[in-house]
Amino acid sequence: MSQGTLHPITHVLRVAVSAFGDMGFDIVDAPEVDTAWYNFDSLRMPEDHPARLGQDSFWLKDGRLLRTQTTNMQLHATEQKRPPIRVMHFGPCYRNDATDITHDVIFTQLDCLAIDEGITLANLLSTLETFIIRLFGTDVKYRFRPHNFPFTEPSVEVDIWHNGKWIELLGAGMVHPEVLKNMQIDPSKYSGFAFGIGIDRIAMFKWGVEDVRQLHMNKLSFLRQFKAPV
Amino acid sequence: MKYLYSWLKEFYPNIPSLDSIESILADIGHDSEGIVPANYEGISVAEISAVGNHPNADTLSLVTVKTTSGEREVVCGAPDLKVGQKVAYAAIGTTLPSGMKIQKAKIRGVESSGMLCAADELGLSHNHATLLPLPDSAEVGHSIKSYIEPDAVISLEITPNRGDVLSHFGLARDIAAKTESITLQPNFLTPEYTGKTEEIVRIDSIHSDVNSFSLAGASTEAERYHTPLLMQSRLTLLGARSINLATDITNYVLLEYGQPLHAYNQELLSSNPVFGVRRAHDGETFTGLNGMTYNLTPQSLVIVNNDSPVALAGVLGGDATKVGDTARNIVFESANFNSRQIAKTVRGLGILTDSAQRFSRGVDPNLRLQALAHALALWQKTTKGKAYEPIEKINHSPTPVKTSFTAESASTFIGTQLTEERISTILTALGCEININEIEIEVMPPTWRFDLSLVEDYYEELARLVGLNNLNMTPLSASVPQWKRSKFWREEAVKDTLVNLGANEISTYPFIKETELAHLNLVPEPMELVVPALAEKPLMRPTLIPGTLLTISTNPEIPQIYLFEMAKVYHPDREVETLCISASGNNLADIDNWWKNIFERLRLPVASWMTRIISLPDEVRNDYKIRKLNVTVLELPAEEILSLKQFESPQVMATDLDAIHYSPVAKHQSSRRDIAIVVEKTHSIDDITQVMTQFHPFIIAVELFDTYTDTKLGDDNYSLAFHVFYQSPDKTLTGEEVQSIHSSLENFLKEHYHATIR
Repeated sequence: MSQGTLHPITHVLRVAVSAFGDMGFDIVDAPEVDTAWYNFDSLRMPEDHPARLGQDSFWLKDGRLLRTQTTNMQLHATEQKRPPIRVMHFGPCYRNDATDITHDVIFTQLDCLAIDEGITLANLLSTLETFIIRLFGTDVKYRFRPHNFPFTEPSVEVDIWHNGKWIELLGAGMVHPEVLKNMQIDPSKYSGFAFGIGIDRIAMFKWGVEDVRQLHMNKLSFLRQFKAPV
Repeated sequence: MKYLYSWLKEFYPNIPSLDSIESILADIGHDSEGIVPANYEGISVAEISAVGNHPNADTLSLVTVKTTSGEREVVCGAPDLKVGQKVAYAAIGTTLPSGMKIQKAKIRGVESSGMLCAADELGLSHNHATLLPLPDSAEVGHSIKSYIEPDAVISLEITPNRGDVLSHFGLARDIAAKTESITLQPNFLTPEYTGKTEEIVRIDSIHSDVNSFSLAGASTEAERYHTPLLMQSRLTLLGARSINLATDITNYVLLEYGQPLHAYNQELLSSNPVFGVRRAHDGETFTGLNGMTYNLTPQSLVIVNNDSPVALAGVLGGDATKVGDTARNIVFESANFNSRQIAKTVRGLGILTDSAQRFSRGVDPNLRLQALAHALALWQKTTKGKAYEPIEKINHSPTPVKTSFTAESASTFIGTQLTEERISTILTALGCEININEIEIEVMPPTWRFDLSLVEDYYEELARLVGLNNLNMTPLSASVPQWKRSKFWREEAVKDTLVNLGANEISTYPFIKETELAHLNLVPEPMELVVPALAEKPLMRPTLIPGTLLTISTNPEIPQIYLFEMAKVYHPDREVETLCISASGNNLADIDNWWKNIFERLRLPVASWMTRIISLPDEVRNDYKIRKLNVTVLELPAEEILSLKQFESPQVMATDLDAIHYSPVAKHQSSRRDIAIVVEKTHSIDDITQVMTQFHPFIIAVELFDTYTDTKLGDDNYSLAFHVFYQSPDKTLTGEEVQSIHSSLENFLKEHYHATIR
């Protein structure tokens, strides 16, 4: 029988997990069904934050929700480990939004978190650069762009140049001091960085997948194209 | 928000060129969503060939211009017109940036075929005194675009912390701080006051969530007045609509300086108007300028005139006091509201207006009076009317919070060395007050920056203005790779085993419906979503089997399907990483062999594991519209396989992503036709299937779905039924096209296989 295929998300995850594993990031677990504290409040997204409005998240009847970001791992991880911390977590996330060729209700993210004495913005930028080059090669054209997230300060987005335009690849930043406090970590002693990567997005522009929803439609005519050479 | 490049340039003449503006804006955190160059469609270069007097008006001329489609006579009010002069000519039918459409019209009794444009009519500058200057070398018939400074509408995504750049002045100020380390100053106009607002209107009590509330009267004796052309053009180019002068002024000042204003029609206010701001009463209704009526709750603040609501504070003006085209007496309001309060109103009522957007992000409290005066000045200039000295009530004055840090702590955090001088230059350009003492740098933010309070906020500003792309990069300290034995790589090793046996990995949605569980005789208590993505699928899966069945059903054109999925299933008290493997098709022997192979490969006792495979009953297959005769599934907690000895030290390769080549799947719908034939048993099913598949390039798959034998068919014959799938790579085939190929397929089988079509 001929060789089967891995799912495209699996291919991308293997590369990303290897890259961050080589940089010393340990894989940790976090639930997909979680409470608002881990997914929102602990990350400085209070009840009146726009991302928390009912229609954007899948709330369960028991009051919990399907996580909207793998960043929910941060507080779970720091309940288990104390600094120095260097961890990653990945898996599906869910948003109850309208879908189109670049948005689906399910998407895969990978989050990293590093906390130690003396972690700097320069460490973050270097870690991101190492990953980008590992994924796209040394010819890749990329840029850092200031951004704003509730749980990081400063916040950064990374764009890569693809088909004649800049495309947003990931969001990153230095862990916000209030988030560190929520982790029971003293921000005057420790600092840290964190970032989250959209894995589906990478599949889209790495291979030119034209509609992100194809990743979960499971047409074999689609899936069978992702045959890795033996 | 949308910005007009020429308007930014008016505030900051040294602004970087349009070519480089995108990257500079990205550098300072304002991501572009598109830059659309102004195109001036229909406006081309013409040459004046004669200038004559208008018979009925001294101030107008009759101008003959040379265009590519011949000479045209145009009535024009500009002075100093010369023969040979190059002008911007808008032909009949052209729509100017202001939204004005050029029509054939008589001006003071003389017909004008088009219009000669001044700069303001093109949205370029305030100049209306002379025609748009064009070089003598400009070629007749060419678009004016090549001869004037390029302009464009720039759409930016402004992050929620930066309410201060939601105006042309605000953005220009941020660009100037970056490129030249200077702090731009606003150019507010001031009116000549000829009366006092308190003679027209008074302010009573204002709620404590209102920081300040100011009003100013304005009036005119003019019977008719119009919004200046540049104002009209700019509003139109930025997607607003020119409505009437007072309303246009409020919208213009908002786009210019970011201060929301509102204009009330004084004639529609009650006599002796007294304004106040209070919480809305429960059940109070309010009809907005948008024509919608809202049922209010005390969550919202309302602006009242003699206790009757005339505006939804910070969000929307009222219909009852709307300014009309010929209003002669206006009351302008300029206020500053608590941003959380406005955000609450927006959420409660579901209306997000330009004003509400600004207030919910924070508006510079020092803007209100200057912006109000500026609006009055624009009114006065246009209508030659009166402006009345403003009145105001203030509840809170801003008290910016002082922060301090050292150059060393900032440098350490950022990882790039910054001197006190550099830090001071950057923060001063941003409008901060700096005081450097022996120990540290004390910083006070400007009144327009609500996002600066923690030291990290200032570190971000330093990194932003130095440029993230100019900072040092320092690798993390070396560390032992952690990953080789983790659960993830054991999972991947299991996946590799299945892939080597020909299985395809799938990833399904976790939402299912109740009947899907009933079929599987499962009675767990699945978790239910409050608002599901699909109304009929409100449950979180406690099993992966429904997703697998749906996948088999979505791929009818593939005869034998081997799948697996490794994902979580959900129970109220836990999530379980689960593995679901399936084999389906018509050839049961192949399926059985495949399972045996798997168990052998996993070094599991085949006989006992074969009994764990579920074969799905007909009613389930029918429910999922699966035509394959056999559907077999094995579902188990992933841990059961992961804990096998051979996965203890997994050897898994990360994929070379570039070695995979993907070409888009045909987007065109496939069509299905069924065919049932009676043929001699000497023709094997495989042979016939293959011949049919190769019959025409548009036949993409052939799937057997029924066989039977009967004495009526003759002992040597059998009946075979197939689905035939048709698809063209270039288009969706029409029914006739499909039928035509299908008919020739039938004829082919009749002729070459002596088949009877049933």
